[in-house]
Amino acid sequence: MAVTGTDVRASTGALRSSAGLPSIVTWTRSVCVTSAALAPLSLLGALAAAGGTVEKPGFLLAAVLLSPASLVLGVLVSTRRPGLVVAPLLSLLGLVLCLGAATDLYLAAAARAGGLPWSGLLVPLSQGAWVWLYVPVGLLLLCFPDGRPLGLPGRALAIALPVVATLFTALAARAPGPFAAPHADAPHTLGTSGPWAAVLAALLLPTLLGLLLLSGASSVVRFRRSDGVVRAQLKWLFLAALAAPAALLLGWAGLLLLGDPRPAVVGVVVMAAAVPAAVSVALLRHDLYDVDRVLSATVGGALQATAALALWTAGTLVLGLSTGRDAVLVSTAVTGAVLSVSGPARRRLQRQVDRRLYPLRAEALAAVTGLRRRVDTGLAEPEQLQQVLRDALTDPHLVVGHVLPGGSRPVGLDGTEVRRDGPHVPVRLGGADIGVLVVDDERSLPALRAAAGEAALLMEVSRLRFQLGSALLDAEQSRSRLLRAGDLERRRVVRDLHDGAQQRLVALGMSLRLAQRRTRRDGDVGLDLDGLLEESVAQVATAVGELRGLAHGLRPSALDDGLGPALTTLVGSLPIPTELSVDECPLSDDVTATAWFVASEGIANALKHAGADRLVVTVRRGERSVHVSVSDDGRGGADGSGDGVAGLRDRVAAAGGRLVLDSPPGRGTRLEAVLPCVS
Amino acid sequence: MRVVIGEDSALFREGLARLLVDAGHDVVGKAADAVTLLEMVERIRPDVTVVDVRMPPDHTDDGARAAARLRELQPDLGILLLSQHVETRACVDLVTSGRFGYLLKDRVLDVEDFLESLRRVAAGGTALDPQVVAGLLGTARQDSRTSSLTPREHEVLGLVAQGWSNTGIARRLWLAPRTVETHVSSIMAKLDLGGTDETNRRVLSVLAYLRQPD
Repeated sequence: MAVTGTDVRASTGALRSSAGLPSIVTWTRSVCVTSAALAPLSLLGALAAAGGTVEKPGFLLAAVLLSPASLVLGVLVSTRRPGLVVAPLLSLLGLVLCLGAATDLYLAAAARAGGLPWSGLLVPLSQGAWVWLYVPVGLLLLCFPDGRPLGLPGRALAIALPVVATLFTALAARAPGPFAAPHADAPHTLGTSGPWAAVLAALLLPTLLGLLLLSGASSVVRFRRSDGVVRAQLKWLFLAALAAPAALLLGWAGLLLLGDPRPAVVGVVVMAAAVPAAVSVALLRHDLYDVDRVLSATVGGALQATAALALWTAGTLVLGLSTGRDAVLVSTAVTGAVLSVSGPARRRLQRQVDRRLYPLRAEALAAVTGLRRRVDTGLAEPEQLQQVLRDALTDPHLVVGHVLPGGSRPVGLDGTEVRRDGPHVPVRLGGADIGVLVVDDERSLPALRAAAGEAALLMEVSRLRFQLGSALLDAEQSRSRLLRAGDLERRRVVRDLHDGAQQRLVALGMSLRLAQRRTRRDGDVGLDLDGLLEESVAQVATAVGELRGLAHGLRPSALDDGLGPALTTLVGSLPIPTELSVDECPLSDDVTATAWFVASEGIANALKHAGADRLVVTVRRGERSVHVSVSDDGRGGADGSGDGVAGLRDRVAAAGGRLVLDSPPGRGTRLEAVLPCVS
Repeated sequence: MRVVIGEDSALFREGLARLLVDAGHDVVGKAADAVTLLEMVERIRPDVTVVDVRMPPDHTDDGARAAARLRELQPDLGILLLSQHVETRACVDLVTSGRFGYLLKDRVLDVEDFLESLRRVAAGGTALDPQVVAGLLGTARQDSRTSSLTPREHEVLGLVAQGWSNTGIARRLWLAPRTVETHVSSIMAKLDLGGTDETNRRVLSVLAYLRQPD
C-alpha cells in the first residue's frame, strides 16, 4: 500500500503541474459521489417532466443498463484509491450517458408540450452532445492506470479531446438548417453560422476519431515502456477493449443467423460494462485473476469464433449458390463441418495465441509437454522436471516438492523438506495432493498453475520412484546396520572369550604347572599342592560359568522350552513388579528369538532409562501375527533414536515385522513389535 | 633377572609372577595398566618387562604402545609382549629391533620354553611366537625361494626365525650343534643371505627375507 500511496502523490503532482485538471484531482471522491447521485436524479427529473411517457425507450434503457457499472465502480475506486483521476473519469462516463438520456427524454417531452423551461437552449446544445460520450473514454485511455497522461503528446491529447468536443458541440448548435427530429422546427436560439460551420463540424469528427486512436496508441506505448504491475493493469484494459471486436462479431453473427445486426447491441452493452469493470479490477485487484490467461483465452476464443463464422459464411454461400438446395439442409451440413474442423483446430489456435499473448504459460507448458514426450521415448527422466521448469520460467530457485505416499509434507528429491511459505502451486492427481511447485516470483504462478496439470503425471512417476528408492535405501542401510551389529556382536564374543574363559584357563594351566614344578623339585605334596588344586577347580568352575553366560547371551537356552517359560524366568529376576501374559502358540525359532530379543531389550531399557515402578509384558497372538509389547509407567519421552532401538527395529524388520515405539513424555513408554507368523 | 609385569588380569598377573619367582627371578613390579607400567619401568629400571598387548586404559593396543615408548626411553630394556591372539605383520615389526619378544599367552604353559625366551630377550635376543613364524613360512613355502630347502632345513629355518641360537636349536631337535651349524650355513647359502654367527642379526635377516613380498 505504501507504494500505491507514493504513486498517487506522484501522479497528483504531475497533473497539477501539467494537465490543468487540478480541481478534479482533489475532488475525485466528491465528483464520483456527486455523479452517482446526479445521474439517477437527472433521469427521474426528466421522466417526471415527461409525465412518465417514454416514446423511444432505447436511449433510456441503455443509460439505465450501462451507467450503474461506471457510477458504482467510480465511487468504489475513488474510495480505495483517493486522488486518482481515473475514478472520476469512470463516473463521468456514467453521468454523460444518463445526462444524454435525460436530455433526450426532456426534449421529447418539450416537443410534445411545445416547450419546457430551458428547452429552447437545450435543443441546439443537444445536437452535438453525443461526442462527450467519447471524451471520458479517451481520457481514460490517456490517464490509465496512474492518472498521468504519457509525456507531452499525452498531455496535449488530454487537452485536445475536450476542446474538440466543445467545438463540435458549439458548431452543431449553430449549424444552419433544421435540427434533427423531433426538433426540426425548433428555433435556433443560439443563432446560426454559415454553411462553413457544418463543413467544419464534419471535419472535426475524423479529428476526434484520430484523437481517440492516438489515445489508444498512447496506452499501447505505455504498455511497451512499462513492466510488472502496470503491464498487468493495462492488460485488463485491453481485455475490456476486446469487447469492441466482440460487438462487431455479434453483429456479424446476427446478420448471418437472424438477418438482423441488432445482437451487436449486446456487444456494446458488454463493452460498456467491461471497461469500468476491467479498470476497477486492474486498479484494485489486478493480481486477483490471471489477466494473461483471460486475455489469451478471450483472443483465442474470438479468433476461433471469427474463423468459424467465416467458414460458415463461405460454406453456406458457396453451397447455397451452387446447389440451390434447401437452406436448412445446407446450414446443417456446414454447421457439422465447421464443428468438426473447429475442435482439433482449437488447441493449435490457442497455442499460437498463447505464444503471442501468454509467453510464460506457453513456455512452461511446452517445456513440460516436451519433457513428457522425451520421458515417453526414454530420452529423459521424470526427475528432470525441476530443472526443466527452472529453465522455462528462468527461476533458478523453483523447487518441485513431492508428497510421498503416506506423508503429508512435501520433500525434494534429495529428501529435504520443501517449505511452502512462498508462492506455490499444489499439484493434484486423482483428488490427492501429490506435490507442490514453489517459486520465488509470484508472477510465475499463473504459468505454473497451467504447468501443474501437465506435470502431475510426471510427478506421480518420480515420487513413486523416489519412494521406491528410499525404501531400497532404507533396506540397504538396515542390512548394513545388521551386518555391523553382527560384527560388533562377534567382536564382543571374541573379547569375552579372550578376557574371560581363555585367560582363566591359561591361569589355571599356570597354577597346574607351578604345582607340577614344585612337586618335581621339592617332592613336597603337602598343603601347598592341595591349596593350588582347590584354586584350580574354583577357576574351572568360574570358566564354565563364564562360558555358559556367553552362550546365553547368544541365545538363551531357556528358549528351548518356549517363549513363555523363558520370559517367566526373565521376569522372575526383575527388581520391579512385572505383569506377564503370554498367549502360548507355536512360533518359528526366528520369531521366538526375535520376540525374546524385543522383550528383553524393552525390559532392559525400561529398567535403565524409564524410572518405572511397574512393567507389563505381553505376547498376544493375532490372526497372522504375534504382538510382543513391553509397557512401563515411567517418564516416557523416548525418541527411539538410540542404537538400541535402531538395532531392535532392524532385527524386527529382518524378521518381516515392524516396531512401534510410543513414548509420550510423562506417560510411560510402550514398545511393541508385530511379527508375522504362519500357523 | 629383575622383571616388571604389565597385565590387567589379576589371575594371570599373579600366576605369572608366581611362576617367575619360582624360577628364581625377581618380580620387582606388577602393573595393571599401561600408564602405571610406564611409570613403574621408568622408576625401577628392570632387566626385562613382560607386557600384555591389551590393557587399560583403552583396552586396545595400550601395551604395545607402551612397549614402543619404553624402547625409546630405555634401549637396553628387554621387552616381551604377550598377546591373546596373533597379529603376524604388526608383531614382526616390533621384533626387528632386537631385545623384543612376541608370544601368545598360552606359551607361558610351556614353562621352560617361555623362561628361555624371556632370558633370550633380556640378553638382547629375539623371541617370536612359533605361530607367527609358521604364518611367515607358510606364505614363503608357496613361492620358489624356499622350495630348494629340505624338510629338516625348513624346520631349522623356523627355529632361527623364532630367535633360537644354534645351541638352542640343537637341544630342541636332538641334534649335534655342528649339524645345526651345517644346516644353517646351507640355508643361508641357498637363500643367499650371507652368513653371520651373531644370532640376533641372523634372525633379523631371516625375518626380513621371509617378509619380502614375492
